[in-house]
Amino acid sequence: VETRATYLLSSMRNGAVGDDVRQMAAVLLRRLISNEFEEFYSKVRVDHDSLLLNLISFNPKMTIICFYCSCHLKTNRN
Amino acid sequence: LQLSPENQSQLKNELLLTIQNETQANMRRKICEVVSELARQLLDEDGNNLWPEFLRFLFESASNGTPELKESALQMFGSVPGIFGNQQSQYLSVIKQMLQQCMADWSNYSVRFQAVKSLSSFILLHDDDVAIQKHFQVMNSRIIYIDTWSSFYKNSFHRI
Repeated sequence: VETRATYLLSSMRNGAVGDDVRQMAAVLLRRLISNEFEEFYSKVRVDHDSLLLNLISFNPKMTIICFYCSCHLKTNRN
Repeated sequence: LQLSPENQSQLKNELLLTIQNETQANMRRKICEVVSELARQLLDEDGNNLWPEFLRFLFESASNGTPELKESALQMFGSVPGIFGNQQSQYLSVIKQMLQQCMADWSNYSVRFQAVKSLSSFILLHDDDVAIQKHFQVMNSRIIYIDTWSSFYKNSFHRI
């Protein structure tokens, strides 16, 4: 299954195979993810605190930055 | 056999990269469906989002992206409106600001219309949550205004 996922991803990105094939690869990859996900992908917990810090680094709007900061403070406090 | 952690990261990164590089609207929509499905799967049973880079991509694209990227981000958010999982209350104001910005994008009708569709999906997901409905109440007039405009496009693919 993991080979299929990799193959479909590369087919989807391969401009040389034609639009119909690329669209079919996308549909099949979506179905693979939908129906056989557990068989080729192990879920790993991630740290949400790092996401908040990452968001600060890209968004230039001060109001949003303030919001992220308050969220970060809140999660740290808890 | 399962994908190695490196291949998992590669899958996620390449999918996001493919959305950004895709030039054809139809293909981009299909890739967004793939990404939405992966994002849905990467929300665990406790509501933890296991793909924070996707949320970052969503906000970044909807805020600073090209009209095509904004539309893609909104399409994915509309497909998986519960993507923020148990962190949603923290992001509620950011979600609102993101949708408000896109609904005020008068340079691009598709972005505005997709923002209305995404907001509708989000509100429908929380149809029994009065607090969330009140939070987004202020956007009602704009929804009606954009929806009225959509009647002028009734023969195009933009129509619901």
